[in-house]
Amino acid sequence: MKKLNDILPELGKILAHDFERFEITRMDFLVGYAKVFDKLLDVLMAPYPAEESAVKVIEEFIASRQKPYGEWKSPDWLVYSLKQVVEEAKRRQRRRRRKSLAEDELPF
Amino acid sequence: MNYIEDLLPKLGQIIAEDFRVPQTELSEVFEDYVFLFDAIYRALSLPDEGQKEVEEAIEEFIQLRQDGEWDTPKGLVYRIRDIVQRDERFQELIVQLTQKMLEDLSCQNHTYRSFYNSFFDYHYIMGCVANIFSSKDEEAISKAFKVLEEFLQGGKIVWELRREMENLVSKFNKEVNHAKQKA
Repeated sequence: MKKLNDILPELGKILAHDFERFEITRMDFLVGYAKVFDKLLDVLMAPYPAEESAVKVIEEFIASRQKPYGEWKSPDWLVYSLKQVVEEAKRRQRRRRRKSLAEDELPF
Repeated sequence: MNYIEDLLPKLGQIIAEDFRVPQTELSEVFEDYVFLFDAIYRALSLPDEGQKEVEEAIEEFIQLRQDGEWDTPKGLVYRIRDIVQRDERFQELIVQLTQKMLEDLSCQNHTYRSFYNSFFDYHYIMGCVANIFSSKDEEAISKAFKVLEEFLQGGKIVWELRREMENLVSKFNKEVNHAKQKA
């Protein structure tokens, strides 16, 4: 299984290229990537399988950059997707807890 | 074109390098860059002089990394925040000082002479403020902040403020001249 730090250098390269290529929207990228980093912090603190899912999301983001410009995923898309990943991991954890509590309460 | 923005591509390359850290250090790197980006974003609303200082701070950070010296972005974040906070504090003080000046000058009890004295006290004070805050003398700036705040809190009267500000400027000018002579 790939970990976050296996894939981050590639994300870093895309960030560097975005700052390099798009002079007019640099500040939008600055704000966008600040939100991405903030969300990645949430991923690191979220329960299993947040990191695994986040890696897939970032891979999708990176893969989109190999496609024509119109199909590129934006940092905002990444923020939104990482947010979903964190929420889903938290939901799963709650379900696991409820299930384990229910099993503990079984009379046999 | 904003010069701070021009430095972002180089900063981006450094970030790409920093992302090669071990998994256990990732959260620290993310946190550092969230704070750095936030600080840079706030710095963009600074006046030209403040932006220039931020630009220099970022350039020094980039240079340090290019020279192979390791420095986390934390130092840079604190430096930019200090510049931004100093500017915000300055703007606030200037608004309060101007309000106080208008209050004092529009006082009903003024005679021609008292109005004249008061007007020139503020005239000199404003000159000193411009002189000190446009310098890069951190010590003089910090003392000026203290004296101005004391005045605005009612701890001083206007001529005391004028005297102290003039003393600060004359000390500051002497030091500048001394440094020039030495050079």
